[in-house]
Amino acid sequence: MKTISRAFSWFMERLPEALLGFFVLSLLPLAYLVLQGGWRALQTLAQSPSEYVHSLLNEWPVTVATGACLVGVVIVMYVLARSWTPVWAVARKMIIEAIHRKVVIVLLLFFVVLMPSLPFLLQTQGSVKSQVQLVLLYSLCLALVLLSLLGIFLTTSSICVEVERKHVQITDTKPLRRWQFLLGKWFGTVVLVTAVMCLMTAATYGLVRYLGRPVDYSKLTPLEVRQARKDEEGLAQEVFVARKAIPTMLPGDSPEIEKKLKEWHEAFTEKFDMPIAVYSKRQDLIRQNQRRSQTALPGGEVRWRFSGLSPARKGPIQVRFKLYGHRFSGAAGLFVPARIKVVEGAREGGKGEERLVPAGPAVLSPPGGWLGGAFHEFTVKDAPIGEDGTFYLVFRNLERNAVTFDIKSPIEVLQKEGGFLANYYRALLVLVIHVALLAALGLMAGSLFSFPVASLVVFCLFVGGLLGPWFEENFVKINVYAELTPGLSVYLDKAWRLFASILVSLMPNFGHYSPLGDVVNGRMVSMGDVSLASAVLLFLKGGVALLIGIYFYTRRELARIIV
Amino acid sequence: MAETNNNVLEIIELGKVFRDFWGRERVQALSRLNLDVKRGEVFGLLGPNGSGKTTTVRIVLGLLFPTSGAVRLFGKSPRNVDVKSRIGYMPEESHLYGYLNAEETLDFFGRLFGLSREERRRRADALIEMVGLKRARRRPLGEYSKGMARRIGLAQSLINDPDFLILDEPTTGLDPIGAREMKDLILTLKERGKTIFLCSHLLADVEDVCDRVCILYGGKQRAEGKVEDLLKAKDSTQIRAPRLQEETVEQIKAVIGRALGAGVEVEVSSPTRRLEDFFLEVVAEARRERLATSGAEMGAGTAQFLEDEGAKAEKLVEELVGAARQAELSAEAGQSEAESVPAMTPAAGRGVIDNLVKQTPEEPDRQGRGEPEDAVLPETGLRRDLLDKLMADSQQQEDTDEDDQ
Repeated sequence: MKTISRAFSWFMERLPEALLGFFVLSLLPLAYLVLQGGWRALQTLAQSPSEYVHSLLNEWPVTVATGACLVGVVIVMYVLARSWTPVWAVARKMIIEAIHRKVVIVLLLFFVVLMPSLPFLLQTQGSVKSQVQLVLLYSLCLALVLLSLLGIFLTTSSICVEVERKHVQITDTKPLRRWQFLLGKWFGTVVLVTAVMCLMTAATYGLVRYLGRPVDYSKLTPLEVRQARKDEEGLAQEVFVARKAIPTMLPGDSPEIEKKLKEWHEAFTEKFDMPIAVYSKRQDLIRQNQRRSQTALPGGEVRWRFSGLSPARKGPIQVRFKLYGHRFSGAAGLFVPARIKVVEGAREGGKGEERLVPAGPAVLSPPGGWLGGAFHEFTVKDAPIGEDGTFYLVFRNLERNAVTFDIKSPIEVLQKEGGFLANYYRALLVLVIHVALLAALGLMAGSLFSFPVASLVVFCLFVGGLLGPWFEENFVKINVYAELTPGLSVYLDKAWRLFASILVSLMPNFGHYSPLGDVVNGRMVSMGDVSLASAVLLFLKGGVALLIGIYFYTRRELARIIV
Repeated sequence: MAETNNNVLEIIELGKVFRDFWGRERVQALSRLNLDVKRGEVFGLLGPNGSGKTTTVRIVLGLLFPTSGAVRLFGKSPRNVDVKSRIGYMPEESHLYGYLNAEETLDFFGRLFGLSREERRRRADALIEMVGLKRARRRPLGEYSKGMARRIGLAQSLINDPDFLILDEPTTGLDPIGAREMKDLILTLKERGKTIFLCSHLLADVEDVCDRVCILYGGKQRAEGKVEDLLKAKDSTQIRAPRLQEETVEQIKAVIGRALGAGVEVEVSSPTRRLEDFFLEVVAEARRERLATSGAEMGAGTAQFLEDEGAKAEKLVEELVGAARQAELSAEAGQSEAESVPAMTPAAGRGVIDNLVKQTPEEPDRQGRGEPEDAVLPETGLRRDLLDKLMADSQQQEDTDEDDQ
């Protein structure tokens, strides 16, 4: 018994260092991915500098975000290296505190009990693929929510309790700068959360891999074998994969729209002579045009052009879409992969007329048609991808009514880009970034308010961040030009929109950067996505939150208790 | 201000006003306080509840910011990290992490001072042994008694071998042995050239170890100087001699009478004031001047809803005091008339304390051995215990007041 007790003490003494080592190890794949990306970029630059510069400019948000991340990482590493001893001392104590408070153990137990029971609790469509997708989604959601709560609780309570119990009245008299104290708290939380996140996501990975394991066909009936093969294929092509998503380009503003807008403006000048009304009307006209372009009349067609696919990558591609129709529950139609063909007969300029011609087997809608309002996916084997990375697709409407494809989530093609594990890892990084931001917000609130207020504020920010896209859709971008009347209400509305826009941009906006939907549907969570999430959530918003917290904490009289 | 002079701590025109959320002035905790602590001395800060002692200490530590004036530690701001690496602080309550044990606590604070692993371990072992917590070194501090917590509080304040040690009520919560050890430690550290700033209600502690003291009242400095100077009665002369016969005493009195004139009253009594007398006098004087204080003041009687119980309590106190006075008179009757009897002071509380002091058991022994007798009130533990208890109670009240601020 004494030996066990000694072993436990020995383990507990070294646990913070072990977690730090684990944290560093967990970042090694990231370092590999960054180096790999850098090497590829160098290769592209050497082969075709102009193309490389063009791609940088074309994807400028990712370029800027990557640059910001590199600068941010260098700054963080420099600061940590300069103040490692005090920062790690605080971080280490933070980890010990979290373990002693048993909050981590309780959360892990909660996860361990709930996660394996998800396959039994969740209602699925009967296929292994849908079961795996649901388990993956709910497990990751559960891990994210639990760890977000852990991050909020640890940081807010740590600061507030230390002040209220007057621990800081001793700690602050030691040679420890107050920003080092806050940075240590943040770093300790991030190290702990990363370790727990790794444990949870590793367990989730193991579970979904177990659920999607190969089946022994020898014990199955032919019908079951057929279904099992279909499931395996679906899992391999749509879940356990990282696919690059290429959406179709919807039409934007055009001279026709501007002309219509001008006519409308001239007709209603007296009533709608406000910039906001013009803006709303333009958006409305653009949406109308987009909807028209994505609508197939009875017997009619919609044609799409997808560019940016890799012609070198052989294998099937998937098409993902959502459609709506009038008075039907299922839409019947036909998708036909196509290619451009130049027909004979020279026109002006010495080139023949370009036509789309079928270039592969057509995909017919299932019995009953495609359900309206839901996502559907089908595979195109041997997709006719052109040398320039272009793929054409035609939809022919077999309904008696018009069929419209969704313009919020436009039709897209998905091409395999990498493996599931790397994709899963990148999604995990984004989740850790979410929690790191919450930790920074927790420290900011903790340095300003007492524990209940601080935790409530951060929890509200967390929920607001999750609902960010919904909030933006319903309260900021809503089209209300029709209700506008000249007068005070217009300016109030304008002021509200401005306020709401600022509010939304200040929110953590987790929903916008969430990788959950992508990883569950086998879509690529690219390093660009990770860079964007890091730059905006971690370095910009998290950094600002931490700086605000440091500003107020360094100016706070620690011997006075805020109630 | 560079560290060129001999002052470790300089407090210059220090003022502190506590304001409420709306910025309205609530309490003037300190006003134009000036004091300095020289290298190698033990300095004591005294004052009744709400006099500004704790506020002063907290400003010196950088936990509160001055409203006016300045504080210089080693010639620099108290918030300077280099300065903090040279100070040690033991708060009155050990605000330490209850989930860490003694080793982990000292390891944590050692890390903050950038000590190496071996050095941390070496110092932790030595300090744990010094404060007598060797057996409890692996128990979480949350399980410690108050005295044990005070001991580990002392240990953490010494982990960096500080040049300047700030002790807030250092002997509170310690048993008599621990208190004695604490005083010995203070004197040892002083011998090693350390500077010590001591804030205490236990006047005996201050008197025993301090070189200089400062007495605060209402946030203002009322007296400051060397303990001997402050306690010296300048208008009288003390004669120390072995035990004298009554005739000898009368002859001395006669000689003094002839020298100073017949009308001069000569007493064989205490020629010097004790610190507590002086302290109480300073406070009484401040009260007479109706100086404002944010701390506790004289009570305004028993609250209405407690009236009956209060009356009972007062009666009980009167009975106890009466019994004590009766005992004192009986004892006096059996003693030599040559022994001086201190006059009862007008203040009833002080009179009771003085009477009780005379009932100590040490006095007959000392007389029996024929040791030289000081013509002062005998130093006893009883009176100090009473004072200490009174001051400790008032300290609790002060803490409550400070927290409310």
